[in-house]
Amino acid sequence: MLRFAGVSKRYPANRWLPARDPGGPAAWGHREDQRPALDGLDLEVRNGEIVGLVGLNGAGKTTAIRIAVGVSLPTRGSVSVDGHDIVEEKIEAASTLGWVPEFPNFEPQAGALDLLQYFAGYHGMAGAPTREWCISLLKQVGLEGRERDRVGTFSQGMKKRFAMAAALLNRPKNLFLDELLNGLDPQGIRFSRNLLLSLRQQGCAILLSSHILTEIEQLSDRIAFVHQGKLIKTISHEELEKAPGSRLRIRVTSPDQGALEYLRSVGPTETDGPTFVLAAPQVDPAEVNAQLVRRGYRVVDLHTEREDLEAYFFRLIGEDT
Amino acid sequence: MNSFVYDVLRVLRNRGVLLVMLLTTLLSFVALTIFVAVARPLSAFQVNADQTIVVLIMGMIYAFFVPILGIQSGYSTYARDRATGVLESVMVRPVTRERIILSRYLAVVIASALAIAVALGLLDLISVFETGYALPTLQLVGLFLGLLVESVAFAGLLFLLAHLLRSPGAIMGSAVVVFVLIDIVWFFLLLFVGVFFGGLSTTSGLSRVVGLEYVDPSGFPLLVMAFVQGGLFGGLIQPPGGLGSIGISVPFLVVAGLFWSIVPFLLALWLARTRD
Repeated sequence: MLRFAGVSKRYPANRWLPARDPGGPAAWGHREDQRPALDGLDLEVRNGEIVGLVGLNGAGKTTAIRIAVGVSLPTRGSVSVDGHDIVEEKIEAASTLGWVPEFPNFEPQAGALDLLQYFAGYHGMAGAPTREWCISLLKQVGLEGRERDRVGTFSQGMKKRFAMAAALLNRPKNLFLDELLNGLDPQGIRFSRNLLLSLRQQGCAILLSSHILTEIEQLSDRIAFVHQGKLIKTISHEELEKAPGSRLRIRVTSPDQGALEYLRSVGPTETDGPTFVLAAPQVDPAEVNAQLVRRGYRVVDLHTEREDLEAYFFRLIGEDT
Repeated sequence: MNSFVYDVLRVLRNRGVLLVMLLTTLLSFVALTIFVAVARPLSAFQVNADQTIVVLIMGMIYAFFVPILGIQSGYSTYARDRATGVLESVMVRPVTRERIILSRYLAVVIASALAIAVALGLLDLISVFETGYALPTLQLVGLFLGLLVESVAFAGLLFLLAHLLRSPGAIMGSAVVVFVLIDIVWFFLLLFVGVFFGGLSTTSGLSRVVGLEYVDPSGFPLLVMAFVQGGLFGGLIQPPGGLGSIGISVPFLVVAGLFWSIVPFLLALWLARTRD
């Protein structure tokens, strides 16, 4: 389980000075007008749950993930991984996490298998079983036969696959994936998707950041929207279904004024050829169906037309699509 | 493989480190050959004095090049990894920032010690080959310790620069500037100061030169050699009041050695703990 508690990150205007706590006293050399990269983020990812992190460039998604995995320090607040603070109890917290960065960066001169074994050493893993495990991981991510190749010779997609192998090395219970699908080919995307679903089933807590909103929409149990460093909303799949932009599309055999009047009594309704479009996200589709049948109409088609995540996101941040 | 052993081997396998040691040994060989060719026919030195001069010449060559060894090993072990983001692939593991920087620094210390020991061993072999005599053990040990402190000090400066600058180019560029200032400009500065304050034959002039040598990590091997050889410049310059009167004594050398070995690294360690 992952928990962000009031996490803020502010990069100092003067980079020779350490970052200042936004709530703390002003210090010499600090500019007060600088916008924080992350501003009081509160978020929880439960075990067996995938939470998608959505936001524009510079919204703070990568900063949040970097703080959570311990490569960046928060200016204020804390991140706990399975109850362990990532700064104060780094060893305990990091032992159960895996991270795939947006742009994986590994020692270019190292061989893939050597480097995985080197990383395994930090998890207290060594010997022949570890070597076998590393080989099997490389095989799983599609790097079979490249064990001895230098990581520096890998393409961006292969580096991403290698990063996935490195992230899975310690069988993590908490996974941070930053733009996981960037640079992957269709096979890699399918593998990643299946992997995520399988890890979720095994009880892994997964925080997934991506610009590919359809993937986020498909994979995530909940979606967290970050804008200008702040968490502006967290929404579940069910809530997204009933979002204000969702509509009910209804087709009956003989559409007439009576059907339209009934639907308008339920909510704002427009006609689209032979179809009625009811913009009332909270309405129960089964009840609408029953009422239409009771009034003598034969319902040919009735389905919820959900607002897509992209439209929802832009409506949320107040920008036109 | 153990992560620490991997880091040590990585330094030793580094082409830059190997090149520096090869170049230094090669230059030592050339210098020694020239020295033997010039000095022997003149019968200018006795065996002991010969050996002292040999150690001095070799020490000066090594002291000039060893900063490059320190810079290269510090850069390839820590500074480059930090600047390019490679270090993050380690930071995400169950290991503290302090442990990472300390482990890599120790790897540099051990790799430097091995590289210098091998180079001095070769130097000893060259001396036997050229002059027929092995070099005095005490002088070699002194030179080894002085060069190790020098190498480690420059590596520590690289560790520190890695936390002050962001790009590999800026770090390496600054390291080159530091090398030129400390290794070359400083040498001429202390000669000038020595002459200006009464020449190298007076206690006043010598103590100022020694003071400046303490401020400069590349001067440390020369101070250690002065101590083990009983005088400056291969024992040719004897201060009127003894070496202690110009500040060359065990306590000063120990403090300076510890300072240069530890302080740049401790500053880097502090920055590693408190800054991204």
